[in-house]
Amino acid sequence: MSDRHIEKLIARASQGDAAAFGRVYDLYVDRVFAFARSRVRTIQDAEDLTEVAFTKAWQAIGSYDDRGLPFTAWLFRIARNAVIDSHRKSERQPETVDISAAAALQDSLRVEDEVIMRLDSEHVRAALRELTEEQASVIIMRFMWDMSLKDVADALGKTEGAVKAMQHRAVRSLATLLGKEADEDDS
Amino acid sequence: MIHDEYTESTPGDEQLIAGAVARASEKMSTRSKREIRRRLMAAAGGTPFRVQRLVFTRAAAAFTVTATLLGGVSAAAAASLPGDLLYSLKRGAEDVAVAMLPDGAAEQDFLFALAARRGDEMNRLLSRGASSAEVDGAIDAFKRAVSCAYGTDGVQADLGDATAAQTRFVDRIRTMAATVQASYEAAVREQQSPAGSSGSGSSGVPSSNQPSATPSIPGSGGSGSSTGSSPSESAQPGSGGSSGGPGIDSGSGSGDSSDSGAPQGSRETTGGLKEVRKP
Repeated sequence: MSDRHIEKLIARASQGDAAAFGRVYDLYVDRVFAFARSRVRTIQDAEDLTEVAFTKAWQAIGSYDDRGLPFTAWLFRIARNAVIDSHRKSERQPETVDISAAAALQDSLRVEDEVIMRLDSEHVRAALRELTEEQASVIIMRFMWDMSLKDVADALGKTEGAVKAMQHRAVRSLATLLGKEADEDDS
Repeated sequence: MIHDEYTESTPGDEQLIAGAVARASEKMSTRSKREIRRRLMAAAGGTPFRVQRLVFTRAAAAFTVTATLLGGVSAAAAASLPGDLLYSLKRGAEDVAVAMLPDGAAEQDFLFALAARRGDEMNRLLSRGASSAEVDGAIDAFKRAVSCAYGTDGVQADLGDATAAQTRFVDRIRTMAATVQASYEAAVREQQSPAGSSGSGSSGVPSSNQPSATPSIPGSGGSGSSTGSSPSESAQPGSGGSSGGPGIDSGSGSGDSSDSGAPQGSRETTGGLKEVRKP
């Protein structure tokens, strides 16, 4: 889908076109979910946050102005606020890894692969959760949402230089955290 | 929590982290996506939405404006032509209606109707012997209206999803362009012949400062861009070879840029008649 087509969908959604908003949801749901999943421990929590974020986006899209924030930055802000609100409201839960989907697989080798993959992914997500909220946001926007430095800066209300420095710190911290986890696994 | 100490990362680190983060990026199950979507759509459709109400209000207001245009004193405004006292009222009402109509087929139909209306005005101005400035203005307005109608919703060259009303308007617009083309050619032939050398404009066509170009119609001939074929070619295949007639030009004006002061695509000739470049 071209950028122009997406812009039109967003414009229609902002005029109250629910079907257009449905298409926008289809386009962005994976990104919002991936962000939410990196900030909470369970799939269910991430799904709940995704739904909250899109509900808020629908309620606010009538006032969205494309001359202000780029849409991805605008949507990320909403998702981020939903995550922050959720963290404020809930207490920390014991860390869990959801491997139920892997257990449903028939082939035992595939189950093992799936569990290993999920555990690896969970290591990364656990490391992401150890970052500061802003650092994690930068990593997600840059590497999961594939956003430009400028758009990330817009979403966070910072300068591009500040975001660049933050990205360097976040990458270094994440590399250290993942290295520690790898060492712990080996020992 | 990691302390925010500044340590420079290397491009290699970034690449590794980008890969790890991408791998850790989990997708929601299709079932969950569908469930959330269903709930969102139910909430969006079931709950009165501020903007939806606004659109409804706009549509109602547009209806009122249109109804006003069709009756009473406004009937005179609706029949008015550029230069008439009530013409600005007519155009103002149209602008309000466009602004108030919700996006979609209704707006698209209305824009095509406006383009056809501009074409009607152009022809009526020609037939009543309006000044060249008025005709020029009407042609510009026609071009803008056609571009606007085509540009609103990506109709462009692909009219596959156009409504029946739009298709009718497109045909009408093409016929208008062809009519204008024919009128100009007739006028030019008359003025170029010895009997018609007076340049009095008796044919109802302005005798001097002829409009430089008649509108291009996007979609006809495939592109609507400055390089596309003119609507006259598609609407009036036999007219392409005549010389001296007013070309239906895309407005690029290329090739005649040395004629400073003259409108694009045209050139002043003796007797006050313009020799208009064919597309």
